[in-house]
Amino acid sequence: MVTNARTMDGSLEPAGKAGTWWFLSSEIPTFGGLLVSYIVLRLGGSGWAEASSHLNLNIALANTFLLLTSSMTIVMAHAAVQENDHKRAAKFLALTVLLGLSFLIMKALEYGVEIRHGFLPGSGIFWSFYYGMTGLHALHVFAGIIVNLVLCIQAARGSLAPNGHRIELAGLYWHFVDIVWIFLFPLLYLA
Amino acid sequence: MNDIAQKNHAHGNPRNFWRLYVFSTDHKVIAKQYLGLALFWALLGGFTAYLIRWQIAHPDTEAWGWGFIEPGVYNALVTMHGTIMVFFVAMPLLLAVFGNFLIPLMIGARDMAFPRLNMLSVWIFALASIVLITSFFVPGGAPAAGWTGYPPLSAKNEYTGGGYGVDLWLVALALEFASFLLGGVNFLTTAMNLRAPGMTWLRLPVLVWMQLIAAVVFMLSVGPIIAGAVLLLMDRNLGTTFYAPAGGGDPLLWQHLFWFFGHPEVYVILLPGFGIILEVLAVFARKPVFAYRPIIYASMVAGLLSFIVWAHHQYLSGMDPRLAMPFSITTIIISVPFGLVVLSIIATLWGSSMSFQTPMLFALGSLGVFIFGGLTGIFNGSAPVDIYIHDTYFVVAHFHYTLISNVFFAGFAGLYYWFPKMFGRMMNEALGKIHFWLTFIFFNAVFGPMHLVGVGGMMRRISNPTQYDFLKPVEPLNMFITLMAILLLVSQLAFVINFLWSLLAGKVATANPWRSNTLEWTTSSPPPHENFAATPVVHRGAYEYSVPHAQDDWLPQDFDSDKASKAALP
Amino acid sequence: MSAQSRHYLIIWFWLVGLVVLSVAAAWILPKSQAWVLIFTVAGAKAFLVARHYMHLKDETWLIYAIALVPLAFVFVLLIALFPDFVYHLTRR
Repeated sequence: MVTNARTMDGSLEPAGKAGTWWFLSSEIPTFGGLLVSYIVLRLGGSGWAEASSHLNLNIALANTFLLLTSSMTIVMAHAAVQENDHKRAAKFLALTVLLGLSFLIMKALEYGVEIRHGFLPGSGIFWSFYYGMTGLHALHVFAGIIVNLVLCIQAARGSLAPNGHRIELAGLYWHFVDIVWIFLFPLLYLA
Repeated sequence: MNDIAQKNHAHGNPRNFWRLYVFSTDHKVIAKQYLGLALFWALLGGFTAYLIRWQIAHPDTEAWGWGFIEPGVYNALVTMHGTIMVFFVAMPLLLAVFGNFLIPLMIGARDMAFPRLNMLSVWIFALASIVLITSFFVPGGAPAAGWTGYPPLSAKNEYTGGGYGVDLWLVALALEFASFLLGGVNFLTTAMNLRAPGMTWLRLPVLVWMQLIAAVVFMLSVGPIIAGAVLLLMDRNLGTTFYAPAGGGDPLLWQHLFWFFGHPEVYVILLPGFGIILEVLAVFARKPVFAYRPIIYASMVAGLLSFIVWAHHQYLSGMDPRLAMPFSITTIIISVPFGLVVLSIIATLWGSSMSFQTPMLFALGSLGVFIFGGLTGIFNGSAPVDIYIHDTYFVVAHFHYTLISNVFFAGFAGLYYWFPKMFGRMMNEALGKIHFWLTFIFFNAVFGPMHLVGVGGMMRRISNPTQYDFLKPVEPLNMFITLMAILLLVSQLAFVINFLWSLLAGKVATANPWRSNTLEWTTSSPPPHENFAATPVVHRGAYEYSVPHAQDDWLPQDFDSDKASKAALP
Repeated sequence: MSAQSRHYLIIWFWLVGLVVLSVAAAWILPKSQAWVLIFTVAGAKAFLVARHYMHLKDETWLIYAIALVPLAFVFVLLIALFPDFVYHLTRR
């Protein structure tokens, strides 16, 4: 026998979507706490702008475009699934994965340049935050890439069919990661 | 219509040992796994308490059954006692055991919305437990920087004499947070989506509401401490300087991040305890919960306010003194919604017809102990008074009154009450009453006098109070407290024996031995894998007790008065 | 291309434009004016992504609450930390 999942007031969020948003609600204070710490320590400290000037704005700009575009491609994948075009969804997911990987590769190259110039996590408070925030963000990007890759393979094979809504959920997480970068970029590179 | 439950049960009924008891997605099995882990940690946490009390009363002597306690080891004991009790006993017992077991049953669902995620949660918690245990055995031993882990003490090993202990502590906590985050997602989605027909939000038992509010508070508060823990791990291992003033950082940053989480955390623990108390009181007083809706709204307000009181833990930390007044004010304000809840609990009992079985005794004991602890909170929350009592045993007495009332008294109330439903047997009533009275008397004997020790000036976390002349007057008190503490711990044997014996040979339980209205009692004890033979249909709220002119003093939520006679009821 | 997809593309153009705007502001404007514009732009970009890509504009009030309440708490944390770290009573 099966339990009917019906609520008297009628309003029902699909379980996966509600669950994903609840998860994001815990991620917001995590990155929020990190960014708040950066902001208050920076406003009260000195020498941060000088340290920031050693960062490579061009790489960061490229990364910003990569991530923004990947947000678009993943929501295009979601639109494709809504039209039942799983092949097109797979293509857009593949693009998203590629863009995400490019972001990580650029980040790794950027870290390499900075380390070669002697800017390590222990080189000062700005660098501590730089590596901490972008590192945690990169880990989140990596996790997102894995999820997107799995969904991409499933969509390409046609085995995604009953769970197409999962692309929207993966998208929600991916957009969140993009939004974090939207704030990291100016905080670290432009301010 | 969301047939999530059906999709997730497409595996059918598992039959082999591993799928049934180890890798189970059944919320009832998962709840028992959490219970086993929580009880294991409770024993270990209790043992650390014994060693701590021994050292305080008889410093630098050999504790029975252990031996000599070095100061470094003492610091580790204090750290582990707090960490274990808060994160590995209180959270799993009150939230994971009761939440997991009861939420689907109380709302009339087959299982949680995400059963496999649920299994992942308990396994992550088990992994966290293994990581924390490992910290006892690495070179340098268990973490010794306090359960609050303030840098620079926690940031540099040379200050505590430790090695990997703090790193393992941070990883264990991170895993534990991940486990409860996933659990919270599960609880909230389940309650939103899987309520049985007729189970509107305002017909839910109070316990479900409390679990949901606690889940939300936890999810919104845990972020900053996760960020802080990552930063501390980096400071310890990558040479960063987040908390090091020499490098431009600030130790106060950790304190703010920790307590921004730490304060809401105690309400995360508290609210489910209140939920248990209210369920038990309503049943054993045969009376509806008084002011059901105000209690829910007040608890939501309290949950909200809990986010703006945190710095009352930091009045003496070197924090900007201008923050003292606003946080004192918010701390006083938060006592208002809790006052409402407590008064409503008392009003529930007023004019009721109480019967004093063990669950009821523990619920009443919890209420009394909590009220006392809440009152001493007012002293701690006011900055001018806190200047004198911060970091003394007054604070220790305060939070043991509030925490033990919830974790242990309410926890025991819940365990004695729902044991029949969980295990299909009754616990022994006589042994239960003995357990209650011994616990209640010895608990007060331990922590009551402790207020005097604190006011007498004894600082927290010192391993040898006798080295200070000004603490000579409290020596006899300390020795008395230690003796009472040992007796308190030994009294828990009554529970352990009762629990184990009843599991094997307790009287077989009927479906509804307590004549309770809520849905979990409409199915067998223990429930079948799919919980209910047919989907319950709910017709009323959970507290129709002693309704005037009714035939009986209780009326189950799913009873259809248009249909068959009461004779069908157990 | 469907209307939905075209809509997503238009949002992307806006996002790219806003990035260019904020970088230009950083180069051209003096510091204090620049950061006001830069962080307003960041907020606008986040708003666009949240509302259009995360479909917040089609969601119920509950989802909005799940997204906005944590933000409010982060803001509380920010304000509360100003006295200790930004406005020291004594120079540290």
